[in-house]
Amino acid sequence: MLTNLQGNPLFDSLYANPTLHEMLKLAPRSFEKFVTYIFHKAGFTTSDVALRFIRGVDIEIYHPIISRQKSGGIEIKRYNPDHLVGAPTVQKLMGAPAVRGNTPAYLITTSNFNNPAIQMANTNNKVRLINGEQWLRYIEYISGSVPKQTVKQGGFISPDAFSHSFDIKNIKPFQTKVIVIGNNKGGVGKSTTAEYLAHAFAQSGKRTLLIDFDPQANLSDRILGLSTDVSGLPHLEDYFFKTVNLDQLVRQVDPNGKIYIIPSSPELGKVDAGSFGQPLQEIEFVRDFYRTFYSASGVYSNFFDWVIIDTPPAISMFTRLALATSNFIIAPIRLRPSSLRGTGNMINAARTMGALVGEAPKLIGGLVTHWNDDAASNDNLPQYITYFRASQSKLLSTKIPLDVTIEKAANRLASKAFAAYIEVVKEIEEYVNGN
Amino acid sequence: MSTATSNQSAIQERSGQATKKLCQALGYSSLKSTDLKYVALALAEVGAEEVINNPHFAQKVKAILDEIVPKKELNAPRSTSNRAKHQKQKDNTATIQKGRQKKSLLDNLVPLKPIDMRIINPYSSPDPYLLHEVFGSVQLAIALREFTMHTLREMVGVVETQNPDLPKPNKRNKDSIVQFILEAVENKHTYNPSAQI
Repeated sequence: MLTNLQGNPLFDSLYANPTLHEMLKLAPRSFEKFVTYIFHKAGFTTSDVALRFIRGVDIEIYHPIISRQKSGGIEIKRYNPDHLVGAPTVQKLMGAPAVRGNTPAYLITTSNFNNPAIQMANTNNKVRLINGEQWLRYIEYISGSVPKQTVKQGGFISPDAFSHSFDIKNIKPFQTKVIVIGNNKGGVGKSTTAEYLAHAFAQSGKRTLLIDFDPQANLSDRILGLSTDVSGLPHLEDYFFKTVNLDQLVRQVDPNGKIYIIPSSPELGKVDAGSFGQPLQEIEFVRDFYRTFYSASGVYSNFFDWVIIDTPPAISMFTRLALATSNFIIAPIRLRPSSLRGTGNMINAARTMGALVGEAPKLIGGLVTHWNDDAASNDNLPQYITYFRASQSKLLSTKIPLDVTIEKAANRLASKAFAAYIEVVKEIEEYVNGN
Repeated sequence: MSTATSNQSAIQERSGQATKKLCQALGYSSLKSTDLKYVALALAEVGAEEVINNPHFAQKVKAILDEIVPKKELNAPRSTSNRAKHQKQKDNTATIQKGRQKKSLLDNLVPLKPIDMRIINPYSSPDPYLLHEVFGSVQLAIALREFTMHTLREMVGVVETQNPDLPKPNKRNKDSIVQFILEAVENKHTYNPSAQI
């Protein structure tokens, strides 16, 4: 086995800011070691067999706990962009002793594959081709995810979801309006924002589906009007327990048929895998969502104008799924340092999930909540606008005023906060229509 | 086509022609439309300096602005069919005032070197050196003028930590503070990373 490559400054730097341009500066053998470094980061153990020509590959990767369980053989081609990998290389890999039987065979290149190479790979379902762009996405995904190596069950982040056999263009095939309400910081008004935006959209005649991805289930409790849902109907966790489909979870909320919800309950917390990278499962959820709500044969095909996803105050499995599924983000913030930190963490998670599905959701902007027009707030506001601009984002012009009536069901829609959410809807629509 | 729409079209056409002429003069005739914001930024930086130092130049710019900035037509008659619409707009004014507020100049900042939000330390005073690196001198000057005196005094503290021997600015005068910070970050004084808090 190779010695631990962690702590190599060059590789650490390249991992933090991966570019093909920098990787091409490495000598071929160094690049092979960098690939090994990445697979260590992904949770695998590895064996450098490049000099053992009889193996037919450069690296063999193994299950992190069960050391005899081989997870694959990797052939590496550090090529310039105009030098495509051809069919003979793929064919040679297919016959390599290291990948006999069902052992996956990975061919990783910094360039790309020509059509004969792809056709050759398609004749053998154990061959996975990973081109330069896919390789960068894999690195980006690993850096924002945790391999399951740290738990006794063992685990690793498989590169399969980043190979040629996964057509990411078809993972989110439709131009949709799915918004995540996200911030790693709690208490900023995510659930309130989700609820009020749905009502604001409803007032303009739009039909909205709310998805409560937070095991705290505050949104579900407020929307459905029950502290504990005793209806016996299924909740979101039942989808993850594989007892129901997504469409079976949808409940109509209002008599006008403008607001629907997929509710959660505290039981949802039992299926949370945290920030562990599970690319295949994450992609499967995204595909299921789009099949259900946007495909021609989906039960709710194009039924909703907007989908708004409420997320927990953590980069949990649910936040990751929400970010992978969505096109846009609204980040409620309070003008406090912890809110800014939370927003930064959430943006990073969005980038990670964008690496998985090919496109990260766009941050429409930060939405200032609990706005109190006092000296302290006015002192902080210019800084926060500047910080958001520095990261190529912005604060929405509308601020949600501090409003003690905001959570009271009886006069919710008469509140001054609701008037502000009407303006937020206009800002969202302006942004979305401009994109 | 209404007067407002035809004016807008004329302005857009003028803008397009002027931009094209400028790019050709600079030898950048093949710039993409997505790069035009950089041209605008370069112009704004140079133009700001020239407006300050050259009154004739300033007069020319003001003359064009006076010509093209639309003026309100206070006595234009309203048709009766619009009366209900205008009434509703008046009724919504209070709502709108509670909601969306006018844009700040800071909303127009364009980062020259965008950063990951996570590198900002929100628990400490805004770092003028970092902001200078991100936005450049002209935009930083705009941003500083939008900050409150309280925030600016904190930023003076950051500069003074870096350069304890600098002459103190008049902390009651915004112009003095802004000038002090700008001179510091433009490397007129030494930046000492080890002096960071």
